Amino acid sequence: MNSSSDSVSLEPTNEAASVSPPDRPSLWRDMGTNEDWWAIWCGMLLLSLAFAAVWLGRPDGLLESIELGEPMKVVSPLKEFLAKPGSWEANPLASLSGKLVGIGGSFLVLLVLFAAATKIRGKSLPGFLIAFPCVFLLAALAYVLAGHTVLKAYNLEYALWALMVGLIISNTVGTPSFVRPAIMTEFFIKTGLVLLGAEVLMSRLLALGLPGVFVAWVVTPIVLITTYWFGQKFLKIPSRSLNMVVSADMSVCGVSAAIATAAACKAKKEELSLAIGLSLSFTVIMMVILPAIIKATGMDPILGGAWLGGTIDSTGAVAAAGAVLGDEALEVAATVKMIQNILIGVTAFCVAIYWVTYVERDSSSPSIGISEIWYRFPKFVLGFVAMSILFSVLYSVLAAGPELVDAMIKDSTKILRGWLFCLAFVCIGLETNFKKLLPQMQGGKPLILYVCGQTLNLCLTLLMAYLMFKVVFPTSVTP
Amino acid sequence: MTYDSQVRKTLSLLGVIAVMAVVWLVILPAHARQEAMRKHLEWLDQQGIDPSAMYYTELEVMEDILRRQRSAQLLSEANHE
Repeated sequence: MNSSSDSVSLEPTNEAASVSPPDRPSLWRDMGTNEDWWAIWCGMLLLSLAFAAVWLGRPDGLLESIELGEPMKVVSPLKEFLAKPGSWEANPLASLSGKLVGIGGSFLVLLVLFAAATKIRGKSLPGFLIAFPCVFLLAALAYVLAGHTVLKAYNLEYALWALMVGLIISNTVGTPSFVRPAIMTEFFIKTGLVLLGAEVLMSRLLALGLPGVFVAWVVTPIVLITTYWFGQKFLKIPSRSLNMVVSADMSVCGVSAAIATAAACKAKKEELSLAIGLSLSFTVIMMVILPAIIKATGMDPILGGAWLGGTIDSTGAVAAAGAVLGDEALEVAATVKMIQNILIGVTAFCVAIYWVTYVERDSSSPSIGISEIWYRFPKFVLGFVAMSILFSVLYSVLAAGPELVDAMIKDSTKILRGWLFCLAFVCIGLETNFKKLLPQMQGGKPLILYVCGQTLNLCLTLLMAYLMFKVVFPTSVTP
Repeated sequence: MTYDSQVRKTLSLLGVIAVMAVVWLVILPAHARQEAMRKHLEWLDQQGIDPSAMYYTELEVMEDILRRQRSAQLLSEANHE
């Protein structure tokens, strides 16, 4: 994910560590060859087409229905042509029922897009055309495995199964060489993150008013920074990037935050895998235990919902835990989590800045220039943030902005983003040796980091939720 | 790579596939049929909750919440005008 090279590794290269490397490419040339820029171009193209489809296909009378206060439902014309395998219980083929056209459409869109990018960037097109269908099939298999209703109920997300599918192949028969041209982990992740940018809608920040902002946007950065500092100062975790990814996925919103932060701080693939494993494991436990504690203590459901939303990593698990407490708790929990979800754009941007200005600095050089910061900065983060701003503006400024943007996300870009992340995790598995995963545990330090950080998160979030929803703004959410 | 090594690796893959087939085609469906789990799955379905949702946009129940908030906002604006 280093902007200065097309290296597959997420680790910073020696080239990036140097303060004044010679013969850097011009910005123009960089924009034409660099993977980060290509992730932005690919993401922007997909978003432009998806929004244009929704805009051109908007129903007549939409504005009138909005003026009447009962907006019409907007459906993207692309809805029929983009899909992922669904859920199933007894027969795995049920997950593909009625979705084959959509899955085929998603395959074609991604094949054409990445084949064009491969060709223009001067890489082997025939190799990619042979390899990509194989990787896509593995991603589809991972989606089918993840679609079992029991696994979904336990919050075991597709990322885990995509990783497992790749790991099984690479650690048994080995990853075939003809598949390697389509193993583009970072390219898939970065493009997926640019698409995710359109889902980070700032206008939803105030969905619960100030109390929601305080619980989700004040406590979360405090917990993130404190946990990272604790990991460096007391646990002395050797890898700063592992420390950062675990801290972010624990404090912000689980897997999606881990992906964004890992890309921003150029973490190793094994570190991202470990952080996701930790997050999913603790989420399963917390989604069962926290509602039980809230019920046993007779805690107010609104306070309990805010506590759940601010602490449980995974968005789906927050909703499941909140629903146990009732409709009010569910609404507050899911909304607090949504506000926290929006924080990942800011988190990725700040982590990227911190990394290029502090972590990657040369200890022999006292300061770092703007040009050096620009050179090292992972450019795809700019695309991520730019798409967030653009679609937040469209959402707020257009009369039918919420309906159009929501339809675009729900019927097209969310599906493609999911495929890109799933492909990326399959690729991580295909590139990873089991033996490389174990040393990442570093004597259990990441586990201790997670437990200590989550304990702080539980205490601070409960305190802030109590202050906001019960003391300062007691009528902000009424039962 | 020797022939033996190739055979061993292929057998390892087949072994893992067999284990996965048992888990996904026998154990998980049997677990889903159990009374308590079946009720839990039905409850999740009725609530529109997918606990494996990674982001709020993947959550059906969130769509309902946001739709309600949007309707309330539009009604408030209409009344204000």
